[in-house]
Amino acid sequence: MRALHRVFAGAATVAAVAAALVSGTTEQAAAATSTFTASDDSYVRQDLPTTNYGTSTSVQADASPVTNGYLKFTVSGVSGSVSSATLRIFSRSTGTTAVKVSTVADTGWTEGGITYGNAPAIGAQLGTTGALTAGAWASVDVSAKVTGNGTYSFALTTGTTAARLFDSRQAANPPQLVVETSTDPVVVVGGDVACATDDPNYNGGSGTPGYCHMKATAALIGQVDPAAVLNLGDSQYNSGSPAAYTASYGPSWGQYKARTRPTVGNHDYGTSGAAGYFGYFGNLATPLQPGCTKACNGYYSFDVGSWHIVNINAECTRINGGAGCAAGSPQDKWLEADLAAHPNRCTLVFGHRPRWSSNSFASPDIAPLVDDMYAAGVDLYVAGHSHAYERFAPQNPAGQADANGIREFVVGTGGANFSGFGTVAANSQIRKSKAFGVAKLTLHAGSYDWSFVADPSTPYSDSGTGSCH
Amino acid sequence: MRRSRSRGGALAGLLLAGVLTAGCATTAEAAPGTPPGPPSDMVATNPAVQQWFKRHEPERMAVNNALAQANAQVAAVPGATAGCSALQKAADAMLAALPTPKKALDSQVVAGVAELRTGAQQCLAGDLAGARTSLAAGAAARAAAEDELEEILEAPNGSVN
Repeated sequence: MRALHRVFAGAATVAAVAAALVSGTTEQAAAATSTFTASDDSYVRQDLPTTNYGTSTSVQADASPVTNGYLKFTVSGVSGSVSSATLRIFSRSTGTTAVKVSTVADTGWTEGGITYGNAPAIGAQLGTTGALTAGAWASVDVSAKVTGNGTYSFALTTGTTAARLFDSRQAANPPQLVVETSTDPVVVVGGDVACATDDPNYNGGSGTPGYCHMKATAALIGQVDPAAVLNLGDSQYNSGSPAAYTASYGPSWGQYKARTRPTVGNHDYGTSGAAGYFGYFGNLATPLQPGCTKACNGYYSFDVGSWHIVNINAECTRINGGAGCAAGSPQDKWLEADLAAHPNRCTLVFGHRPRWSSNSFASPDIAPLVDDMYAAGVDLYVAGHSHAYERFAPQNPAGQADANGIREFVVGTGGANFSGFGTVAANSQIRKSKAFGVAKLTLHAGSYDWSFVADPSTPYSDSGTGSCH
Repeated sequence: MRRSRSRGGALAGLLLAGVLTAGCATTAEAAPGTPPGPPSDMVATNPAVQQWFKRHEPERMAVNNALAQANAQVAAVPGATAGCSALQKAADAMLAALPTPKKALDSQVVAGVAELRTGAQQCLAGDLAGARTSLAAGAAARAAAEDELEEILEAPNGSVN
C-alpha cells in the first residue's frame, strides 16, 4: 500500500513519508506527490475546422457540434516509480453527462496552432469523469498512460449533446496532472520479444504492424526505468541463436541486460542446449551454476526490495532426463527448499510457460512446481509463451478461486507477434490479444500494484492492486 | 511459443492442400506491412483442442512424475520397480488419450511415450541398461516434439487436419 498524503501545489513537488497499515503489518512507503499544470490546452470544433481556441479561458467537449478538448502536460523531475497519476479538471458545468478522457499519442501540437483540421488522432479511452458539478474538480485516473518523466497529451470528448466546459490554463483553476511516485521497487515483466534480422517483418528492428515490436517495447522499459526486468522467455526468435541475440535482442531489450533477470523459453532450445540464451546472459541466467553456457539448469532466485523472486525453468522436457519439473525432480526439490528458506511475506515466481491460459498454451508440466508455490504461499506467478496479456484471480493448483492462492499474469506481449484466446479459462479476469507492451509491477512491502504499459501502436490499459498473503 | 512464420518443413505435410496450392506460406501471419489476421483462428484457440489438452492434463502429469521416478530407479536403485511400474501404467493411459481433435497433433502429444513404455517394461524385466537407453530416447523424442507441437498450435486452425 502506498501512502497517503497528497499535497496539491501548483507545479511543485512535495515529498511525504507516511506509514500505512496493511493487513496488520506496518509498512513504510516513501512517496512524493508532484502536481503539474497544463503546458498547452485548447479545444477544436468540427464545424469550424480552421479556428483555434488556444487563448480561451475554457476547454470544451460536446457532441454537437463535435467539440474535443486537448490537454498537454510535461512531467519532469520525478524520481522513483509512478504509482498513480490523476488528471484533474475544474468543471464549469453541472450534469450527469460525463466526459471521456483518452490518450493522444502525438504530443507535437500547440495550443496556439491546434484546430479541428490539424488535431492529432485520439487514442484509447483511459476513463471518464462521472457526473460533473460546476465549481468542483473532476478527476480521472490516467496511471496507465503516465509512467514517468515525459510529455503527455489527453483528449476530452463526449458522445452526448451537452456542452461541457472546464477551466483552461488561462483561467483560475487550470487543468492539473497529479503524479504520485513511490520509492518501492518496480520491476517490468514481459516475454516473447525479438524477431531475428532475417524475419520479413524485422524492418530494421522497428517491425511492421503486429510484428517485431521489440524496439518499441524496449522503449517502454526505458520509460519505466525499473529496478529489474524479468524477461519471461523466448527473448530471441526464432531459435535463440547467438548471432540473433547479438543482432536483435541486444540493441533492443539488451540495453537493460545488466538489470535483466531472464528465463529460458522453448525457442531458446532451438539452439542446442539453449547455448545462445545461456551464452548471452551468462551468469545472470545461471547464478547457481557460474560459468555454465549450455544445457544449464536455468533456475535461480534473488530478492528485490522486500520481495523474494524465483525463476523456474518451465521447459520441463529439456532438463533432468525429460522430467525437469516432475514431483521429486531436482528442480522441484530445489524450489521447495528455496521457498522454505525465504519466508518473505511477498514472493513472485516467473517462468516461460503459464500454468493457466485461455488457449492451449497452458502447461501441465509445471503443475508440481505450482503445488510447491501454493504450499509456500507464493503470491504471483508471471509467464509468457502465449503472445497476449491475461490476468487471473488468485487460485489454487486445482484452478479454484482462492484468496490465498496464486495470481497469474501472462505477459507474452514483448514484441514478437500476436496470438489469441479460445475458451475462457476459470478465474481469468482480463484478456487482451493484439497488444504489445510490458507489465509494470510495483513491489510494496505487503502488496503490489500492476499496470500494463502498452506500445502506443496497440493502446490498452489494465491496472490494479493486490495484497500479499 | 513458436512463431509460425519460421515453421519448418515438417508441418507442411500436415496442412491442407488448398493452402499450399494457393502459394501462401502456411502461416497465421499476414504479409509484411498488413494488419495481422485474427489470432482466434489458431489451432491453439480451437475450443475442442483446448478442451482435449485440459482433459488429459492428468495423464501428462502422471507420465512426467513416473518418468522422474523411473529415471532415478534405473540409474541408482537396482531392484526398485515402483517408478517403472507407474511409468508403464502412465504411458498406457497417455496413449489411450488419443485421438486429439486434430490428427496432426496425435503423434506430437505422445511422442516418445512408446519408448518410455518400452523402457518401463525393460526396467521391470531387470534390463536396466536397456531401460536407460529407452528412457533417454523417449525423453529426447518428447523434447524434440515440443517444437513441432508449438508449430501446429500456432498454425491457422483451418489449415490443420
